[in-house]
Amino acid sequence: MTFQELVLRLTDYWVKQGCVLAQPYDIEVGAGTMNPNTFFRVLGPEPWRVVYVEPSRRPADGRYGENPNRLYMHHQMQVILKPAPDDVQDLYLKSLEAIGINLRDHDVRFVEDNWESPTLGAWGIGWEVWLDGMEITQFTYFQQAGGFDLEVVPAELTYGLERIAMYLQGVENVFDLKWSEGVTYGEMRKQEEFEHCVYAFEEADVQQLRSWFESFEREAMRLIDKGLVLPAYDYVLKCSHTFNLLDARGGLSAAERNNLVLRIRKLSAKSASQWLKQREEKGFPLTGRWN
Amino acid sequence: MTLLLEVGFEEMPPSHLKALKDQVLKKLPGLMDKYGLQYDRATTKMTPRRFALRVDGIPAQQAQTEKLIKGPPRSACYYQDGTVAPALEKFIKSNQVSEEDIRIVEENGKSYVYAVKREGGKSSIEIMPALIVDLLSGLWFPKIMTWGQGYSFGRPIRWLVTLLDERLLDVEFCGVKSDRISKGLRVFGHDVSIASPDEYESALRSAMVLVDEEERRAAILRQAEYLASKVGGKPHLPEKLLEELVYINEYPTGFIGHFSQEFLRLPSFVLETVMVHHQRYVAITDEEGKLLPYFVGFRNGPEENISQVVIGNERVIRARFYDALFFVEEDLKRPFADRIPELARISFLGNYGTLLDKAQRVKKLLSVLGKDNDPDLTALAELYNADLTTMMVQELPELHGLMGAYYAGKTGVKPQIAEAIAEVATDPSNQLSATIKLLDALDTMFAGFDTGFVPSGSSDPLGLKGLSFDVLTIAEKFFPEYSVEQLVTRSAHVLDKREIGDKILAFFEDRLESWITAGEVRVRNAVLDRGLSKPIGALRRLVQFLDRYWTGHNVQTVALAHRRTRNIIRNQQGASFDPALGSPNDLRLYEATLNVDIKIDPTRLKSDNDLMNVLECLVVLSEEIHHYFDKELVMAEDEKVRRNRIALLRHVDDMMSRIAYFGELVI
Repeated sequence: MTFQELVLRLTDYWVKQGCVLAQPYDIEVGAGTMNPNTFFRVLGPEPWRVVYVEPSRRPADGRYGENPNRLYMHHQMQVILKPAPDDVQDLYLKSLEAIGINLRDHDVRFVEDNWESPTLGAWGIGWEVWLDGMEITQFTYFQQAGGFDLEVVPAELTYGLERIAMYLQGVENVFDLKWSEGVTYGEMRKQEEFEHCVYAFEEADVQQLRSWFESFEREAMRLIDKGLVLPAYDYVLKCSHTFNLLDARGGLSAAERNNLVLRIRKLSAKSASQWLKQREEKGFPLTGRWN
Repeated sequence: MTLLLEVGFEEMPPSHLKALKDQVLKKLPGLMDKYGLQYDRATTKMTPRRFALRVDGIPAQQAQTEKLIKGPPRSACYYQDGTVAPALEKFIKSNQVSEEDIRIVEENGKSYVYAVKREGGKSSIEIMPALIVDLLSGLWFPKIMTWGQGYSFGRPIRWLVTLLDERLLDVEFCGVKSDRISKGLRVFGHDVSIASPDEYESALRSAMVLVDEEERRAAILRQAEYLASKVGGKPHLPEKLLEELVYINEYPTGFIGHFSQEFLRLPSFVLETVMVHHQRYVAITDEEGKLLPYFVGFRNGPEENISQVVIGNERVIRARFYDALFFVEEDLKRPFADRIPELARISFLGNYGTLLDKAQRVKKLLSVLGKDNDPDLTALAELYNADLTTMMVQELPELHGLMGAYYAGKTGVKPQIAEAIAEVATDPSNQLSATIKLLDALDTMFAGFDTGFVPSGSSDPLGLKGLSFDVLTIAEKFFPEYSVEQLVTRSAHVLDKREIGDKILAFFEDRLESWITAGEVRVRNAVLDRGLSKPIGALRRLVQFLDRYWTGHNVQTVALAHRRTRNIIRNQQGASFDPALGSPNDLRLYEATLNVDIKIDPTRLKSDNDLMNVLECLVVLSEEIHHYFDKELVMAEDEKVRRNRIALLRHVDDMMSRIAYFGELVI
């Protein structure tokens, strides 16, 4: 199964479960959770079902395209089911069958892992899903986002697409993956991996990044105060990506990392609170859908 | 009768299962009693997806009790013609009995109305559902979660089986209605109907679930032994891993996996960290304890089609070891000590510069403990964080310390310094590592407080509470003669941060209280009075000592004297005592203080014997104090005399307070 076919089949499966097919966000993010289609939509009483692929940048994980398992950017398949249906674990297992994994040939297990995103003020209870010892999905019942307790608890399923594809195709090097029948993953992405790693590890100017961080933070704050929650949140995301770049440069001690994380969290919390206010003013318009 | 309760849930972590079991077994006796039911014994079984409680020897009915309730005199209850008066009607109604339950009893020649009230006697079937809901409600978990309509438990509950013998009890909990249908192993099992509690285990076995944890434990041990022996080795199965394997599998089937010999070049703690902590594999060693290139993994399911599982697991470990080997070889290309300048790339916190700056500060702080310019300590201060610049530690941060020790040892750092690098990150065993860990913690506290990360409530992002604990624990063990005040004010002096030092001292005041958890509360309060200025090593010993003796005559004598002294000087003025102004009584007390002054030294409390000696001095002094208060009027008319006496008593209070404020202990 090619990489693109994997995307199509998983998407198709979740669309059939009633998910809206959304698209990746157009600002750098570290995970699908940061896309407004997750971060904001899990807040408040409205139901929500969505699926989308999120190209997720983790500068510190990059290896110049030389390591067979490491990527600066990988692809997540993100699914939100809010509220989480009672049979959500079974729905998930069936999605594996939908991509050709015969569960009787493998060892699929739910291993305790309580996900949290300190920058988003979000955490949940759940598991890593292991397929024969390899983590392929993060499965989380969200409990908090933006520092708010979630009144309707959603399930978040985050598939690591490259890992699953490697397993299905039986390849040991991510760049050997068939993206389509005629084009490999390496042909699609290797140059991009290399250049971004050179930037993240060698060229990124720490002073410049620090000063951008401060500017993005100020801009986010200014826009939040004006009630422009979505533009403000874009700058929160920029803060977060800038922070990730700083981290990749190896320039942050544990204590300084915490310091910056807290500053981003403060912005996330303010954005979340504004969003909730707006939705309430609109009377929570999606109430009653997906019944 | 026998109760079977099975709570089925989504995969619950071992720590949560344990919490669940402990609480249920603790709650059960009281609840059974409250609901008026006896039972013989209760047993539990647990797997990641279920908790089963079996209670044997439950009677079919509650025990029935009769209680006599005294009412008004008979004369008030009946009219003369024998008909019922309102007083009796009211009595019957308020006690929920009927007229047949009324008896007349003679007491001291007077007749009273009594009601016979019968309670209990309800059938267990009727009572049990409420008891079960009560039992499962309000439980605590290491991390509690909510789902659905605001339900909360360790993980979402998906089914409930509640049988009393063959009878299905009608229970609803967290939105789940009970049934006799249980679920088998994921993927391989099937739903099973449980006819009675006795059939529970066998029914689930047919659905590929081994509900008995002892059976699973034995199976895991047996398979690990057997599989390891096939490659000529022994399983390395620490209890913690075994315990985890027992509680994350419903049907454990072992398999042996292989990895390339070349990975054995990695240090064994790296191999073990990856295998045990990350993958939950059993490592295999030869007779001498050296690792072999094999591991035992467990599948949660049968032997059927297991070859794919083995191939998959081997791929995972290969990728992980491949990375680790690459990192270690890269990291080893340079002498470890050459990394010190690179600490300048890692910023520490706010205005507190980089980790290189931190190393410089830690070196300066050596003077706090009188160890400036010690060459080993100076070297360690520069090296203990240097592994943070290595690829391996960036990959697996939990190896910080161990990795540094390994690299240092391999590239020419003195062995005792190399070993100390590991200990700074974990548990110091000697003065060398203890010194650096202590000073590192103090430095981080200063930086944290100065940058505004003062812990409040549950918010403590830099973990300063934990660091303060480290400071106390290390000081107690390695620098017992130092007080918190000395450590903090000297550090403040070195760092030129006096105000921050004061804030940290105030914080420690609080922390001391939770650090010393044992002992009677008022003993703790007594010892912790001015606790910051006492040698840290003496605090716990003092608490233990006073805990044993505080009610005794000697301590009470001192306690009363101390309280009287402190009460009288409160809000009074008087700075220093001038013998020239003293009365004979003043001078007698003054002389008593001079006699014991140097003996009341908290830095010399190394044993209970020392404490006994100090206590004796204090008793002598206290007797003088009592004598003094009996003979002398402290609040003299003459202000000079009065102030002089207050000054004398303040001196007495200070001396006694070196040990404790005994006034807290007055019974």
